[in-house]
Amino acid sequence: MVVVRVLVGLSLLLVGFPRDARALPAFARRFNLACGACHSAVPRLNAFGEAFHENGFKPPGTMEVPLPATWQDAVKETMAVWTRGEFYEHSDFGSGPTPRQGFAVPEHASVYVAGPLTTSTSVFLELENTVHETDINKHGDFVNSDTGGAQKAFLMIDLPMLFGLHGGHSMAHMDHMNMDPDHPMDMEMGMATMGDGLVGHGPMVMIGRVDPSTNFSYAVDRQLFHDVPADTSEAVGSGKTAAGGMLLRMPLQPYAFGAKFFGIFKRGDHTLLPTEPALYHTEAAPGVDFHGRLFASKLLYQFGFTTDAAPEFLDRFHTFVPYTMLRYDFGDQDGLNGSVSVLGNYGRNVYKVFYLAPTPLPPILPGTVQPRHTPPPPPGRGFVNAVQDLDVWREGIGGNLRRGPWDMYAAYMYDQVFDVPDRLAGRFERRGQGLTAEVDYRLTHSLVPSLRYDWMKAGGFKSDVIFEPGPRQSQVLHMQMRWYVFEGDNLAKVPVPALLALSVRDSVNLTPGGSEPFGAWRNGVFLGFDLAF
Amino acid sequence: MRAVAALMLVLMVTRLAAADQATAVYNHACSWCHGKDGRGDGPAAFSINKYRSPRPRDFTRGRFKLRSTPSGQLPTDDDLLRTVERGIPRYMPSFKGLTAGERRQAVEALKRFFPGFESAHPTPVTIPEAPALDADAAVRGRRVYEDAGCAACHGDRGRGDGGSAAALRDDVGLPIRPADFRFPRLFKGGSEPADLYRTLVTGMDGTPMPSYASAIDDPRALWDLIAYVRSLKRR
Repeated sequence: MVVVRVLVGLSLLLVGFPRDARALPAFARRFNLACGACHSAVPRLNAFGEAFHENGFKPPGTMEVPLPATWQDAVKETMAVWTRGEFYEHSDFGSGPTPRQGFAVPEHASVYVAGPLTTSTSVFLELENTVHETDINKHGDFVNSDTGGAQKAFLMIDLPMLFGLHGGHSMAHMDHMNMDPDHPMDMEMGMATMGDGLVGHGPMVMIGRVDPSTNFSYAVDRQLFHDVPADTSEAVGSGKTAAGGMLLRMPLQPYAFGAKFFGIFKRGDHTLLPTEPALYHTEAAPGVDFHGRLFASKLLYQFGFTTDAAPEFLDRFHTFVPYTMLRYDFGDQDGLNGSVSVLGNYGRNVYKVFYLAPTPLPPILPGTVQPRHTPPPPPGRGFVNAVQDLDVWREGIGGNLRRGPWDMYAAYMYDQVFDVPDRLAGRFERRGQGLTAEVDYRLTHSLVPSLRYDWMKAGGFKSDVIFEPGPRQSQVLHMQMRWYVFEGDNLAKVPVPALLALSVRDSVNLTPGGSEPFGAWRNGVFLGFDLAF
Repeated sequence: MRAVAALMLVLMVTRLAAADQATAVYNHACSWCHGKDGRGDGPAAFSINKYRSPRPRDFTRGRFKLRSTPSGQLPTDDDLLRTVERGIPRYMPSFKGLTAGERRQAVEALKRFFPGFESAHPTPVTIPEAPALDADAAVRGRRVYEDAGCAACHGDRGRGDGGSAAALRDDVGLPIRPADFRFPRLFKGGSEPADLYRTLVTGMDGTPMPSYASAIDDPRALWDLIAYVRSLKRR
């Protein structure tokens, strides 16, 4: 218990760090498995992989996993390195007086430390060297910036196990009392024995920088299509171009999970682009998550809260993002199985909007957390002199259907913001919708073609008022071929459990036209790779 | 405390309501791959190895690779228990993390899928004590390896690249790779001398690997062969 408390404390400390889990060769090494044991197509989890994750990174039903015996084993069995990235051509709208770099260079690398620590407690830590963010600099230009640090960092605790409610090994001493040779060990109970009936599994609690969406039918961080960061022209302040600081293309991320509003900011005055994952679908956010299974494990429940969009620690007390999700799993066979999830997510004070308002500025109340700086007006748009916190409500449904080599996924999310200032009446659309649907097919042992469709009807500031004018709808079609060169299943080929996947992808803008970033970007071809060891 | 007590009560009631613990264990730990009906068609079955063998075992067919019994017979409970506890390298994790009772219940549950287990009395083969598996034994074992035709599948150097390797199929028609002797930790039946002896004598039913119980009837020659196979391990 003392150990657990210390770990819980450490985990809470990690909450203060700045924000994807994929396949971990460390698990493959620890449990002597190939990637396919847990993944239908890395990083996508199969049903066994989901159960493995839900059981605190242990085979379903099991309780004890011996800790690595030596420090060398600990490194081999708990640590993994993942590098990934995409080569792609920047939009030609970025070329001005100074031509821009032709290709983006892959630069993502993560180090993971993960695995079960005790029968009840597991740890997951991901350190990433860089994360693309798009922000506005002091000149009012959109610029890409990079941050690094802890992404996911959480403890997962099996509460019944922690409190001794599973029995299991604690009852092993009673074995000698069982004298009936026809029913040996009948007294003994463990997690698997509890697996049917009303109670299925858990509740489990995740504390730290958690990834709430992992349990959703369509998980944000397990996409076969890499996220592509926003494309911005060189900032004016860089002196390289006169027409700089413009947002040329939104980040190519699943639209359903995006923030869906133009002209909004996160807490701490960071921009939040419409296609950036937010709220429940953030890739990692400080918070506490409870989840478990009921009714013979058919129903997965999840609730918790995050403090997404609040980068400053103290500001998190001002921001509260509770959520709840229910998922129903159907089909017990490879012939057809899947799940449907519904969620509700309320974000209190998570977004900000800056706007023109009559003087004087709103009074500053004692105890109010102030932003570090007032963001500058966007280029050529006049002065901003008022700020308003916005609440948001997200409701949505997601599902997946799997049949042998076929995997199909879809999610639809509907977002509404509240507390929009009266001053913005008629100029701010407070509703946004997003849809993402995908189909993957395992063509051969190592080739996976995929098709993804994204649609968004974005809200936020309307045309020619602020930021990005133009249509608020976007549709994108992504086509990809992914080649798993090796994935830990042929050690004669590659003598260590490791993964290499290459991909080629074409993203087609189905709603071209105009000068705004939804319509202006041309089709892009992306060459990607994933290397993990 | 009240909340904890209430939760304990719910769990105890549920525990009493669970009609069949063996099925509960199987469903919770095994059915993801082997399927609720034991047909090897669980929701994760395809992705285990896609278009290749091994795929999760179909218990209803009554054919088991990993046995201590002569070819064609069903495995003993201890055989099944051994597989549950060890797992199968690359494809099935060890389930030693289940309690001892649960592991036995899992075995009890999977046997129900094949009625033949009710009347079967599988008898394990006898594994004699291993002699010294030294370099001389390995030299003699090389001759046994050649005479028995092991190289046809496993290759001249034991790398699983024999002339017929690419054409091998298991009993459901999936391509199957012969073992690469450089990596004993990947041997499905285990890599200890007694494990290899058992595999050679019993064969692996459902795969092209036959029993050599009658082809090599001298235990000494089998041990020599084992010494040779073990000498191929990558250092």
